[in-house]
Amino acid sequence: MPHAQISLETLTSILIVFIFFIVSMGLLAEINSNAQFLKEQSSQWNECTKIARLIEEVFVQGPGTQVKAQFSYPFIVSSRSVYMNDPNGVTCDFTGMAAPASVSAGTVRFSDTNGWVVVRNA
Amino acid sequence: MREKGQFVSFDLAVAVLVFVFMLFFLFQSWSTNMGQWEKLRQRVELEERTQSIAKVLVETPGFPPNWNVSDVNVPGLAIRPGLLNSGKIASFAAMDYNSVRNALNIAAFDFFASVLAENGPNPLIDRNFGVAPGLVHNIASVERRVLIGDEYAVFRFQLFR
Repeated sequence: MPHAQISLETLTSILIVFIFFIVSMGLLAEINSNAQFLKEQSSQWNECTKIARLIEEVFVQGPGTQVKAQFSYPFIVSSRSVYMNDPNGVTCDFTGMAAPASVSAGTVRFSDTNGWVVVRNA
Repeated sequence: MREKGQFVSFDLAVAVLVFVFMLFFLFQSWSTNMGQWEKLRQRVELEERTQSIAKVLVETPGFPPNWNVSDVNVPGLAIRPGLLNSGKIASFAAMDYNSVRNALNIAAFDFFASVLAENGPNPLIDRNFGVAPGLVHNIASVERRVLIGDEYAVFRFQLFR
């Protein structure tokens, strides 16, 4: 009784096409993942620079200036930079000085409550 | 003559070659775009930093407001926006180059600043600070018209790397 047979060539071909398919999918997935990463970074960068410019503006405007704004990403402000609090978070610098409201040093005070931020030149 | 169906054919080889070529092109194009995007981001950052530093220098008194070379946190040269204090200009010129870079938060960059009297050379007003840029490609410049005493001058700030 004759059996259906797959030749070695056919088997090899299927294997090559399969590997090729896997590699292609991997590359496309990597490109897609990079695109997502860039999109996220770009969005965070915009937010980061927005906060940095706000601090600079309040510093330039001088004592008595206060701005209240809302931001969508969690972030940490140090005396000279803003860090977007995320594993892939970006950092952006600003000119001037800022400090959390609880710290007495620095000229620009920073309060962060429930996403609303108050930047005040004390 | 072989009678078995063959999966590997000349057509398949060409198709795979074309697909590999397209994938390579796509990957190459992606890498190029990434590089250009990064360059653009760095350029925007350089220009924004230059603008903001010039603004802080010519529009604020700095911090602390009556700073001197030993206690300066942020150097600012203004009595009020656009009117510069000649004493602070002299203090700024006396500061160490790296200290200024740290105080302005631009340790990753180099800078050159100058104040030049508008009506020709004036040794009482003309000053240079920092390192003059050579043939660098990535440079951003800002010029602001300022008043020192009763003399108009041009304040130029250049940031580069």
